[in-house]
Amino acid sequence: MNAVWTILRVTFLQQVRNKLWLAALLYAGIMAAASLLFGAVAADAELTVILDLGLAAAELLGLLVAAVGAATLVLEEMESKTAYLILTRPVPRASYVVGRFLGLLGAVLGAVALMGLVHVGILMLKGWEPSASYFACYPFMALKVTVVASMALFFSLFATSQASSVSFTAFFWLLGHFGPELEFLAVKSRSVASAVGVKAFLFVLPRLDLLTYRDLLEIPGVAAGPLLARGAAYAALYTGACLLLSATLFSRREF
Amino acid sequence: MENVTKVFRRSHLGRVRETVGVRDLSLRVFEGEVYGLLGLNGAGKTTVMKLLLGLLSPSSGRAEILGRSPEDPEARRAVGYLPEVPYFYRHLTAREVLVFYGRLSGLPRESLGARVEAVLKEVRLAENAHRPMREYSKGMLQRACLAQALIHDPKILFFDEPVTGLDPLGLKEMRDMMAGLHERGKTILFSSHNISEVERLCRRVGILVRGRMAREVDRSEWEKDPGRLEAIFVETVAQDPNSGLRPVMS
Amino acid sequence: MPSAGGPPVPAYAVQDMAAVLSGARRVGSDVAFIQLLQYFGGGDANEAGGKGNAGPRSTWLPRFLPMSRRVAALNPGFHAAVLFAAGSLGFVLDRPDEALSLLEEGTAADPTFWQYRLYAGAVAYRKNQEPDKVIVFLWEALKYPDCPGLLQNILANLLKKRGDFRRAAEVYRHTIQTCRDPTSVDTARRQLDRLRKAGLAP
Repeated sequence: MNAVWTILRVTFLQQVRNKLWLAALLYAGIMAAASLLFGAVAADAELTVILDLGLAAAELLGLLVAAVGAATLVLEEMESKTAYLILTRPVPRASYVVGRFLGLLGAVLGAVALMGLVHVGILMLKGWEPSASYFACYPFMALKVTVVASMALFFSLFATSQASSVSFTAFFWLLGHFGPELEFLAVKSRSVASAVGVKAFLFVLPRLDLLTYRDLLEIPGVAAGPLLARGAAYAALYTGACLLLSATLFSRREF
Repeated sequence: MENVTKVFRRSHLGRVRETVGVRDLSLRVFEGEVYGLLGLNGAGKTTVMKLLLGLLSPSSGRAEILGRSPEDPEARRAVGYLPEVPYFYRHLTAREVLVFYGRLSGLPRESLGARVEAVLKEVRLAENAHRPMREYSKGMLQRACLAQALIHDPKILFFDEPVTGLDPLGLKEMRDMMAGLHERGKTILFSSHNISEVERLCRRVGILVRGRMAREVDRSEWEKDPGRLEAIFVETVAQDPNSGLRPVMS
Repeated sequence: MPSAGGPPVPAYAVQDMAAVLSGARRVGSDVAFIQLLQYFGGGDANEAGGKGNAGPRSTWLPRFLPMSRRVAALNPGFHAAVLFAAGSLGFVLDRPDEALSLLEEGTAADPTFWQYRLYAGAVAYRKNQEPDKVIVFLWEALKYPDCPGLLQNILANLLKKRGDFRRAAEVYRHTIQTCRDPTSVDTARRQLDRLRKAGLAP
């Protein structure tokens, strides 16, 4: 645990010093421009549009930073050989992987929180009244970022390049929102083999539709609490599996 | 190391290429000894180091540190590594780097601070310890690298080309530090291209040729005859038909 | 959620699919609503039923209903959009049956948003040409935050036609204070100004 914490701390600081906060700055710029634009074109729905766009932009930026960060997290250290001075010490390789991952995650979630503050500020300037369901979106966002980052880390350890690792992640991210539709296909499929194949694929695919609460805002009968509990359990399992696989792959790596 | 062979397999466009890093190599370094590894580029010096550090696993044979596998945490606690090129987090200061590696090496929090300051003083970096690594010169980086290798007071030190790229003053400093460590009873395995440094410091030298231990030379063979180690080295390497060396005289 | 027998507006199918695939349904719905507003404001030059053309209003903007359905399909909770669309269909484009159909679908998707029934009542009375009853329903709807600026101005116009300038001015003031649509606020300001200059309102 000591090794995990030590590596986490240095990774967190490294990410912050790598100007991760620029993502939050970019976000602030986008939202300021959007609030001006949509004030003019969105009529009565100005607040709705700014709210939706802000949540989506924060999530997208967070995911982008997490995915690219995770894809380079271990690879970069292997290529620059910074990892040598750690791996020649009594540090289990799994601790190294977990520490690096948690450090990155901490930094990214901090950036997302910063974006959230900017968003709330802009909304309140526009006369928005805070609602619990809005704030409930952020834990779901955090879970999604965690799942996607863990997936990106895993891909980085067997993909041939950082670019292919990010591409795989983007592909799985897209498909991850299609869970219910793929389930429907599996049910409707007449071929047992393809039904089994689709179900197996669904098992591997991250079920990001379970973690997209912001699309369920204001839909009647949708309560955040139970969804969050289910989402958190799923995210913990999926992330745990990705980290376990990553640690296993990394432990077999030679330098 | 006992009869260690390491084969590297790389696949490219569906074809697997095998390269032998070291072949049937046996090597013993005794406690308190300074042992040098000499060889041309690609002879396997760094591969030997990495096998003993646990960064590589042998394809066959056995490597041990103090009777344990190199991957054993106890073995790792006993080892300090100075790589050829220092690989640091550039945004950290020397002090932060030593605290970081000290913690990873298992040093207790209470004594870590004092130990860091002592090592910084030993490698003469105390005055620059507040500066980030990206501002360091080559010589300062090498000293910082030595500091991280020493922070946990290991019994065994691996130095991979420690004097490469150093100016004459830096070279002397490194040599003096290594001599000082030897006097303190540290066991040192060091690889180098610089035969004169190896001559000065080592008790024994292993000459690697294309992954094999071609010859081991004891200090007594060159001590009284300056330049003798170089001659032995050239002779050993020239015996390899692929060395590209042809005897000018025989 | 309305089931998809196919995309409501095939021309936007790829855009809507991209929104769904990237987990941004609500943003997709917002963009669809802005496209609906732009269509309402300017029409489509390639379309026969362009707004402001010589034919009756009921022939203008033939794709207005499918485009409205598209917004609701992406986000069934987008009440303001459905109310705006129904109000436009019922009171501006003279297509009360389409307005009622849209409100019915909205109610099916979200039975808890009872204001849909209020607006359905207003549209039904509009269809039967009973403006007094329309006023009653729209006056009630005014109390709730999702009342579109467009309908507030329509209510004020109906009140003016009845000679009830005091209440019309009240509606304009309410629009200026609470509405987020700059066009509606502008209209309300101008109309209130006129009433004041004519001495018909304080």
